[in-house]
Amino acid sequence: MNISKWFPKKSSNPDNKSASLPNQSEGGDAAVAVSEKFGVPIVDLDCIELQPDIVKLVDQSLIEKHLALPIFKRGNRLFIAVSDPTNPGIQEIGFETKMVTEAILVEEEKLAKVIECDPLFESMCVEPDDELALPEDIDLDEDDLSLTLLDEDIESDQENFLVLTPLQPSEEECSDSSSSIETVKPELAPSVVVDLHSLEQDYQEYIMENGQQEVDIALIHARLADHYRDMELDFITPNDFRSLTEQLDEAAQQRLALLVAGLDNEVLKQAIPKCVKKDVKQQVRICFLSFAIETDLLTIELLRQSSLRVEEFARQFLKRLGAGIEDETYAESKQRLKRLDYRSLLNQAKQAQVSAEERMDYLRQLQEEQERRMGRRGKW
Amino acid sequence: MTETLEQLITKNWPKAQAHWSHFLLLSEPKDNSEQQSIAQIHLGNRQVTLNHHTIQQQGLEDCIEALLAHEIGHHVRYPGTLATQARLRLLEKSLIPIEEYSLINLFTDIMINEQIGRTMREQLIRIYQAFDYQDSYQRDPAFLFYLAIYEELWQTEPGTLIGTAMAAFEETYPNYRAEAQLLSQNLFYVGPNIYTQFLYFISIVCRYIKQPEPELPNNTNPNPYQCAADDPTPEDWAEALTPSAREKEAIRRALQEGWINQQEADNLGDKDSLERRIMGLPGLQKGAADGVPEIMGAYYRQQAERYLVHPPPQHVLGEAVVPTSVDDWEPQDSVQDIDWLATLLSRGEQLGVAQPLKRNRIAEVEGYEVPLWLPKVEIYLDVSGSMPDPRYTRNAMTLASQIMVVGAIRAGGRARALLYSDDYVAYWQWCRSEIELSRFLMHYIGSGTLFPFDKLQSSVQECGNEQPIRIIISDSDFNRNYQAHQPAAKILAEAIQSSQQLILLLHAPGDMTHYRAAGATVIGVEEMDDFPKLAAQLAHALFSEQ
Repeated sequence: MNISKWFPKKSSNPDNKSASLPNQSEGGDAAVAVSEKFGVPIVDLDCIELQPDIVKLVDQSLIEKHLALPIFKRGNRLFIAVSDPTNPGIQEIGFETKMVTEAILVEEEKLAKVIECDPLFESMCVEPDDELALPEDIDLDEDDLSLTLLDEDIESDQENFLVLTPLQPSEEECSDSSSSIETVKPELAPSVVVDLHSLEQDYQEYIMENGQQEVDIALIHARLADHYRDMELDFITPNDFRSLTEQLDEAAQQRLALLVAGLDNEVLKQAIPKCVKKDVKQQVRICFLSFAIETDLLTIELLRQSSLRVEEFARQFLKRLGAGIEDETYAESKQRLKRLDYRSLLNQAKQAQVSAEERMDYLRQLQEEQERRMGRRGKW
Repeated sequence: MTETLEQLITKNWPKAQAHWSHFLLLSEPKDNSEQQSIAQIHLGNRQVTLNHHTIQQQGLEDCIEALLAHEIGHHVRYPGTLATQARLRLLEKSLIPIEEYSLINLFTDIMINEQIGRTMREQLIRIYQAFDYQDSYQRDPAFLFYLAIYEELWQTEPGTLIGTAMAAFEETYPNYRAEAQLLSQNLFYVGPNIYTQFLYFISIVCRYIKQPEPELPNNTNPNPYQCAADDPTPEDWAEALTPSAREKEAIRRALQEGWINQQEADNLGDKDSLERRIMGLPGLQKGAADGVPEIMGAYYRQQAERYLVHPPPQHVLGEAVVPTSVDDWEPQDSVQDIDWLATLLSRGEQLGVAQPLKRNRIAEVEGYEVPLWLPKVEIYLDVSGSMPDPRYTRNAMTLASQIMVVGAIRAGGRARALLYSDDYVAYWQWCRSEIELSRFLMHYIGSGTLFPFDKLQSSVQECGNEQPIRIIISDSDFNRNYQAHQPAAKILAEAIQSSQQLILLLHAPGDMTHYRAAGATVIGVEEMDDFPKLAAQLAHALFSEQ
């Protein structure tokens, strides 16, 4: 089903080929085949003019992570261009934007080209620097950003949409662009600090005892609500909670259960009210539900196996919460988290493996040589 | 000072053992200041030795407990036995065929240190900080990477163990630290199969092995952490030539996880894996394999053990005294079988006379008896170019010889053997040592085939009234020799007549009727890899008449 005609056309593409899908190319053939198999509409990305308002609805890191590009919005429906109709990013974007998302099939090559190389796309995305002028010396990567709610003047509804804004520091705090990390440290340091070691222990205890049990989401809801009541904070409505947890898969639910179990830690519990930035709903969504989805690599099995990953989980959570770590400067915490970041570790290890390929040639030669020297079996 | 150190050792020895078990029976550690290593254990006699001089020189007196616990770890768990070490080596050499280089010690060390490091982290760090690795980096980058794994495992500051070489290392091997952290995270959880852990370990560390450079002298800076002091015995090596179920499982998992590719998995587990494992034996890659014949001799002995021939046990019956149940007597039956008492009781006087009942008596089985067999076996084994070299592959004909030799000697008999190709070499004294003869059978000549009929003739004459069982093991070349040699038929016929038995074990022999007609027992071997069938045929040939 070619639905290219539904979308705004690129003005700079006079010899528009949208009428005929790119079935000359291999990628086009594959896309058509997948479209027919899954019954997902297909479109030629070359013919679509990207709309900044739509692109900005979704965090750039999410787009890049999943290779899923929002291209069109109709009411509360957001159409996401993907090359694989089973792309988990479709769900995740739906969760982030609180919109109903639908997949539109495009050629993988073209999609990757737009997301990775198209300067137009780059200019449309919300960069941290757009929101806030950070000192040049501060290497604020995507992990330094937290999701906050922002009203958008987009058509349709009163929904809030998620865009990236820095959790900390504020614009004023970082106005001195000549400051180095060390000098801005006191300003950057969060006002609330938590004993990381005790939190890690609590997590480990829970993981060992209950980590891989099936999660009763109603019970988690009740526990989390109890904790918030104990902290004298209003909790979100059951309907809101239910709709937020609908998109959690089993692993994410286990992580959510772990996060809630961590609230038994008194120091953390005391820190939570101080970390509420805007409202509780935002905190629950960002620091618990969204966090449980985004830490997809940190499975309970992995956490059970490695204390380092538990530390990373705890650090990521505290960072998301906006809390600091006792006896550590902000720079130290940041450095430590950088060393632990599992996603980047996997990427780096992959790169190391690729770069070792050449070095491994001589081993392969030795293996071949050994094959040649192997024992002869005689004429029979 | 030495006394102080000895006192420290005495004090720390029980504590070090307690890290593994309170019930270890190890002798007290000894001083060996001549050894290159700072501490080592002889896995043959389980003796721990420490280099007191180096310990004092490096100021490691406060790390004695860790040093001792580490060495005990080699005894208790990693590798535990020299047989396991041999298996690790053969796995390793299939993937990293560098004779003089091994990752086994690094692997076993890290497995041990992970355990004892939970309580003695600081001591271990001090031990690894004691030596300078600038030079090592040039020669063996894998060792520096290995230290990076410890840094990640123990979460020390980067460079704590690697030291000043870190910057240059980072430049040459970017992203190595990510690999080190992932390795330290996963290695200890892919177990408990040690071979799985080892395959995972070498699949990562092998990326940092540098091609050996002959111009860099290897022995200028000996490895102070080399803990293994013994080599496996030939029996250990021989046993390791056959992959165990745990190894096969490890290979399957390694392939599944992507640690090794399909080609490497095939190399480790396909039908030629024995040959590859043989190539991993010490010395073979450098062509100085003095120990290989001994190892292969042990291998053939172990294989022969599985297919050993021995006379089949026979039924022994007692006297026929056990009565059977009664049955109708028929006119053709013996009158003596009639049981008149039973007849009169059950059928009465009139019917009983007309239709008597009979009752037989049978013997009970008293047991089984193995007949006495004190064989003398004389073997003529073809080791010409058409036969595979038994030192580099499994030669079914050599195995058949081994089966006969071991079988005869175990039965209390004796054996002798002759190997021939163009010429022959003979172990011609009657021998009762299976080890001696298995060593002899490991010789290989190659070249053409010329059966020594003259030697057969002289043997027949020499043995007089005590003729042995003669076994000739060859292939179709024997037919050609038989036809080409003028008096061959006469000599062979004479030998067949004189010998207790003459067995011709021939591979693809073609027409064998004339040998059979002459009275020889001929075994034609079609499938050379079907060893059980071969052994069964041999046993059948020897004992079918009995």
